[in-house]
Amino acid sequence: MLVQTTSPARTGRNSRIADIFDFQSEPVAPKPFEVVRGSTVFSDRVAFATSVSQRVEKVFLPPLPAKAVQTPVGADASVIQLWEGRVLDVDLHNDVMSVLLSARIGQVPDHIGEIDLQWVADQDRDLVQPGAVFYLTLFKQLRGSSVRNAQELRFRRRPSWSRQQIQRIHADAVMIRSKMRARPIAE
Amino acid sequence: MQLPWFQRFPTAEDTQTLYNRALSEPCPRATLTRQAEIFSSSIVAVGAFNPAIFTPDWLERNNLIGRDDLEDARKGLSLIVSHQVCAYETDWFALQVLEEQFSLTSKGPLTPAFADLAIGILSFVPHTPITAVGLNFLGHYRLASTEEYHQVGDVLAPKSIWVRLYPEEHATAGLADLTIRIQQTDKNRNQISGGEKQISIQPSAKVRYGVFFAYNDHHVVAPTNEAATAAELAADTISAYWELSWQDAVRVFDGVLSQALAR
Amino acid sequence: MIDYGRGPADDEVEITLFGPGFGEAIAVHLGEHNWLLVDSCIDPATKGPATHAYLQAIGVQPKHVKVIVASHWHDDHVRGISALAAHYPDAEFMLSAVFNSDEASSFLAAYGGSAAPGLARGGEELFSVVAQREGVSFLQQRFSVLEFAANGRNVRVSALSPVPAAFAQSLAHFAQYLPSKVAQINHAPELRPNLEAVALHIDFGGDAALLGSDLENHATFGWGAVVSNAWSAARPNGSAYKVAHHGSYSGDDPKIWATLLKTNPTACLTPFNRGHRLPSDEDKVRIKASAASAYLSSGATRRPDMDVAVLRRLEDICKKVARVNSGFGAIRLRKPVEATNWAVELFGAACAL
Repeated sequence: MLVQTTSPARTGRNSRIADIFDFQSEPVAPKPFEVVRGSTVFSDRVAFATSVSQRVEKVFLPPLPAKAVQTPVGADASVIQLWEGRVLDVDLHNDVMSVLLSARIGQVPDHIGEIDLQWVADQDRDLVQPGAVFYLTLFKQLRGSSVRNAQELRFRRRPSWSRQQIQRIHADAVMIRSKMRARPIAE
Repeated sequence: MQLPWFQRFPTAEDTQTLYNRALSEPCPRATLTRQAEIFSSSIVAVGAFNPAIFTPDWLERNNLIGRDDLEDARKGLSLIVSHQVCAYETDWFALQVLEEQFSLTSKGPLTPAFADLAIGILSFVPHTPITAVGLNFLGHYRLASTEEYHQVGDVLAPKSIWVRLYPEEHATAGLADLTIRIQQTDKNRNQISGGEKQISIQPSAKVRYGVFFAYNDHHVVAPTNEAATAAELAADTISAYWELSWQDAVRVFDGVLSQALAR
Repeated sequence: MIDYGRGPADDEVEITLFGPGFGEAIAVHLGEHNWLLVDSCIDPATKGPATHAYLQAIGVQPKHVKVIVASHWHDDHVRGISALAAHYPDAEFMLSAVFNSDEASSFLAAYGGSAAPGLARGGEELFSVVAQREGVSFLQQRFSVLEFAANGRNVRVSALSPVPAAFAQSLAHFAQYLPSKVAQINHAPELRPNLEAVALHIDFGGDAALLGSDLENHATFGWGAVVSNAWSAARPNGSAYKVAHHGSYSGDDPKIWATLLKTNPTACLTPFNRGHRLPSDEDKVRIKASAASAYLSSGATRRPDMDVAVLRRLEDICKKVARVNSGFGAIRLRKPVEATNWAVELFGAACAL
């Protein structure tokens, strides 16, 4: 459980970034939170639902030049349907990918379709290849009192194979080979 | 055939049957499938971290996020990188790493890509000593009316006791926070690792006439041999349990509301 | 639930092909309660292996299933095969000989084992069977699958592929996707053309049948190599053919029909509704020109099946939305072992081609 400390930087502050010379200690940021050992429960009791960014701003001021305040990205969403998609084929000539969509909510059978590559974020373009997995979400986004429909297509990113995984694969491969038997030759 | 994930949780019906038996009465159930107005997840790991490692650039270099996410994180208002804390956010996650805690929180619609990110990050720091992993799910559910709203509170924490203690005309009593801990054991009553869950219920601060749920699925990480380090085990735990916990959380949230409203 | 009626008599042989829009499985009665199962797909009614549902429905005891063959590792041919193998623990399990290699066994371990789940469902199914069993057998051209006497005849099932020359191609493909610390975890696409699949020849003793699996054509490594092999060409010609690779042009070679089959055989096939649709209209014309009669396991409509409002929103970004498994059907060919013509029965969404 995270408990906010009453650091001097926090007292009397609102959510705007203050002057960097308010900072009384060394440029390295002081520890803003006190962590209850062993707990993995997210967030403190007071601000269960607030975002990390808001809490951090209240208690800690970065030793950086003041930046323009960005419009906060709407974080509250309610998923209507989530598909795990798999790229079956990519047609670069027509800029389209054939996909298989497996719904994750409700008893919806698999469907196939074609998605224009314009829906793929630039940063994900090099992930588009046969076999690649993506998540397609239809959701409602809550912004204050208004609700808007939105969709998101995000490709799955996985790290490199780890040492442990490679060891496990090697052991499994040895197991597979040990079970193989040849059949006799037919006449 | 891959069943829809709602059907893949193996013990929901068994658990319900056991619960029914324990109550010695059929469990009343309203036939509804509720959808959360807001639903998010947070993965928290406890251990000894070097926050300065987990920069946005480091994530991008290891192909865990793309260039657009990197730019978002760099330009973000909340970017902090130091030896004691690293924190930043993009449009779909917020990361905070302290010396004793790693926490990744989802933003926007929740997808398994979020868990992939946590798994990926931990895979790249295999020698980080981690002692526990918590899989958290948070949901805000809207109720149809003030009557339903009060009914849920009354069922979970009956007001009658408090009304008797504070009978003044202008005093009101209501549920502010309820936390239940579920500890699963084996048949010999030994605690099962990964068998501790904590569920909290509060009035929602974000949804009018809404109920807020927080679900924590706590797993102790204790490597027993050299085959896997603690960080690798933690990544495995997330990989094995995150979606199951997601399913269970939704089942519990829906179940609490269903039962409370069916009475 | 489909009503399959009675099971075959002792002296009847049978080939039953099951297929939803994505998936394929075959049950073969070789005579006197001896069954051979090839591949697996899911019956949407039971959500379990279609062949198992069929055998249960017609009263076949588990001990009568002698062999289960996984003709290759692709998703559409092995869905539910681990459950199928568990239902018939005494049946011998066989798979392509390419897996008897370091590259392919490492590939199967990487993409089907527990190291990184979710990369290849077909791989996971096969890995699961191998892990469960004490031993599995591998097949390549000329290996015997099953041989016994029934109804006074010698019944022989043998493998026509993979041809040894194809191994190097397959292993090179697998080797590209072997894990390393610098390689990202990613999906392993299927090798195209498919040269590693196990095509089977069934000699009932007096008549024969050909099960083409997904083997594709190639002069040196695929069907071209099979039909030009003297031993293969010497097999008795078949009167029934499970058409290779969903009737595609790439799975066809005129010499299959000329060398391995009788004139005007009975043909059956399953569709492939993922991405490019098979069989195409041209494929259907070509098959019907070579067969006396041809049947498709599922001809149902592929209209989308989801909430209308969700579909409307999905169609904003996804065009040509179609259901993958829109209908499940089965084609049963059955006859007394000495008869010439097959009696054809169609179940579920199965139809004439």
